[in-house]
Amino acid sequence: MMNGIFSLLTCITAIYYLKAYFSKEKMAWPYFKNHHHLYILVVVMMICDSIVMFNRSFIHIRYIIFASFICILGSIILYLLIKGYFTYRLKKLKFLLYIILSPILLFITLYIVPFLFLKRHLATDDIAMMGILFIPFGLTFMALTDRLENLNYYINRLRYYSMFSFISAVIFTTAIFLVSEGTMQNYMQVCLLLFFCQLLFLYCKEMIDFKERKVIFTTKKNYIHQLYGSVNRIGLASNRTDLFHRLKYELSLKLTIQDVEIMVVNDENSHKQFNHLSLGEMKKIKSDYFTLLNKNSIEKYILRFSTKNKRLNLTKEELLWVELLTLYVNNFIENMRIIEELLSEIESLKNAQSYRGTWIDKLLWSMFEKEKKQLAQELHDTVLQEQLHLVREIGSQINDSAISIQQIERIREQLLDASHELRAYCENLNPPLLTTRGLDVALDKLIKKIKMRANFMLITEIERLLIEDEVLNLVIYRLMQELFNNAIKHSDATSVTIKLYQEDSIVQLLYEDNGIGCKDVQVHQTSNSMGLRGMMERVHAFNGTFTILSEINKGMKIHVKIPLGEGFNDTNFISR
Amino acid sequence: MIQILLVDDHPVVLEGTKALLQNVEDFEIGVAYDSTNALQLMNERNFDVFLVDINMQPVNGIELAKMIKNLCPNARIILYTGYDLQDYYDLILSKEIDGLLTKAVMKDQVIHTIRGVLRDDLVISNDFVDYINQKFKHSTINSQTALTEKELAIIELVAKGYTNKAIAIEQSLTQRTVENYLTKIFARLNVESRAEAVAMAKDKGLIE
Repeated sequence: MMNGIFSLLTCITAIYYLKAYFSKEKMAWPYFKNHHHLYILVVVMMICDSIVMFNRSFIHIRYIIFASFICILGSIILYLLIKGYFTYRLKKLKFLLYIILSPILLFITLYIVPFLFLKRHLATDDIAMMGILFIPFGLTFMALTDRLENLNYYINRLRYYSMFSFISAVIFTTAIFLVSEGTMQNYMQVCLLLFFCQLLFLYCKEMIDFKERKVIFTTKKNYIHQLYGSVNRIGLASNRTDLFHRLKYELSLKLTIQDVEIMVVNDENSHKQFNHLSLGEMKKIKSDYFTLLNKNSIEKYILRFSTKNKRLNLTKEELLWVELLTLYVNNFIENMRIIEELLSEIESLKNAQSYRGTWIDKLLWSMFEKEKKQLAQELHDTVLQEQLHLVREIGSQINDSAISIQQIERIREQLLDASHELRAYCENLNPPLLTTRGLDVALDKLIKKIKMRANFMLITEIERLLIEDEVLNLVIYRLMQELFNNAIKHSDATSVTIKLYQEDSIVQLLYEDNGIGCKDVQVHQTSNSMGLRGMMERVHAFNGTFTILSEINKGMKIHVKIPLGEGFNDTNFISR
Repeated sequence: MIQILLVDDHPVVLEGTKALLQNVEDFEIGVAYDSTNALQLMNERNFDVFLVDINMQPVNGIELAKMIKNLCPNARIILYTGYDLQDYYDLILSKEIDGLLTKAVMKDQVIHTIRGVLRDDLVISNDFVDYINQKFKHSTINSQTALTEKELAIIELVAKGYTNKAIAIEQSLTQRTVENYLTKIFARLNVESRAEAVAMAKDKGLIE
């Protein structure tokens, strides 16, 4: 009978537990702040029980009341858990839900459902409620898993202190036994007293130690555990500075020292004492400890910490701990460096690509702009000026009724000059012969023009090429044009030889002069050679090769090879 | 009546040439703005002379001339262009065309050339002879190496390394005139380039 009341109390306690749990996890409590009113249910239950004592027939009503109370409390618990779980999605709450829900479900299936439908129970309320007893066990288990590590530590400490106290108590008692007389019971009492006194003393000492010196009891096992934690925390570092910062923090916390330093040493400022340091080995010099953290070809990282104003020496465990930690740190640094190297490699590759792209674009753009500017300047200085001059001249003739034939003749001559120049520009911009007469005739004309203008002796051997690709024809024409222009402007040569021929579907162009030449690098860099640079790009666009051989004052040789029939991928290149 | 077809894709030039020839009594002028148009007109009526611009799109004047000759072997074709005539002299040698005109010529010369080609005469500038000479490398004027005063002055400047532009300024000439002089000098000395001309002139003791 009493178990009915206890069942209700268990449920209420569970609600109290949940409230504590919610506040611990900083979750909002979704139920009444004050829930002492739940005890009314217990009181009602007590009254029911006492009525049953006098009137057995009331027992059925008592069952109904009990079952409904359990249902109310169970649904409150359920509501709290489900609400909490769906609001915060904590795994622990889910686990808690299982722990609490399964006994209640058991109770409902064994007790309430059969009673409602069969009017009898499969088990008494006490047995059905047995499951609920497991709730506290489950809760205890849950709470313990959080603290099991600490428990291990407490047990270890207790064992250690007990052993110490026990042995010393036995030794003291034996000493007392030897020098005095007494009953066995007396000795046992003394022994026990000594034992407990020492145990108490040790615990007191530990508390004082912790408070005053920040020294705590440690065992070997605990160091390993600490190392594990330290390595984990240090491993979170994202860069070298962060890594060193974390290492310093761990060291100062665990060894209770403030004076921790990581020195960067290179060959120049290296002391002799640092040369003997090796990885994973502590060296003590005066009151300072040194160890090598990491070394690369340029510099060494040396860890130094001081035990001045502190304990005399580090224990062996502590040394081992530090040494292991530094080995791990060395590994971290090595890995970090590899990653950094790879990252910078990727970065430089990226940069190189984008740099190349923009570099070419800029070059092309500046080339075109330069050409445009030059053309505009030339047109302005020649054709435009002549036209303006003619406009003025004709204008002055308007009022003059008698225009002589000679005057008109002169104006016509000037107009012819202007159109001659304009035609030269047009031919230069877009050689008309190339489309109407083909490469052969166009090259002939180009050579004739060069012979008319250049001072050097020009020797040409031009084979008649039959190339269908119009763009390739233009490229060859432009190559020749650019080579001639370069020779006229920059070579200072007295003799230029140029050969164009086809060999096994490869167009070959050989250029040779006896001019001032240049260093190979200059061809790539000076703005004067932008034309050459542009030619190279054009040849490369046709999968061809462009080789320059030149030395200062030893002339220049250029060999161009362009394979025929190779597709030109980017037709926009020329029109751009 | 002489039936003439003008083919040019520049409307201004086309109309200008038409206006130039329209008032000639025995000329009847037709105009076409491209090759397709020209071939269509050829189906409708016969033409005696074709005056064809060279630089046309997409079919150029030289290609059109071939088509016309194929269709009508008796047709006379005169190419006219704004560019150098010398570039097309070989077309006369190969009889692909019957005459050449520059767009800068005057009315008389156009009429003269049209009438010339109809009489099977070759009406052409006398530098055609230089072209022939150079082409066949047997100069008939080899002995006539005497240069005029102006030509000597120019070749001397060439020998000093002056550019054509610099020579033009020095001699108060236009660059076109200087280049004309140079062509004459090259023909006289039977050479093709400035360097050769200078060497030849020195060789012959014309300059120091």
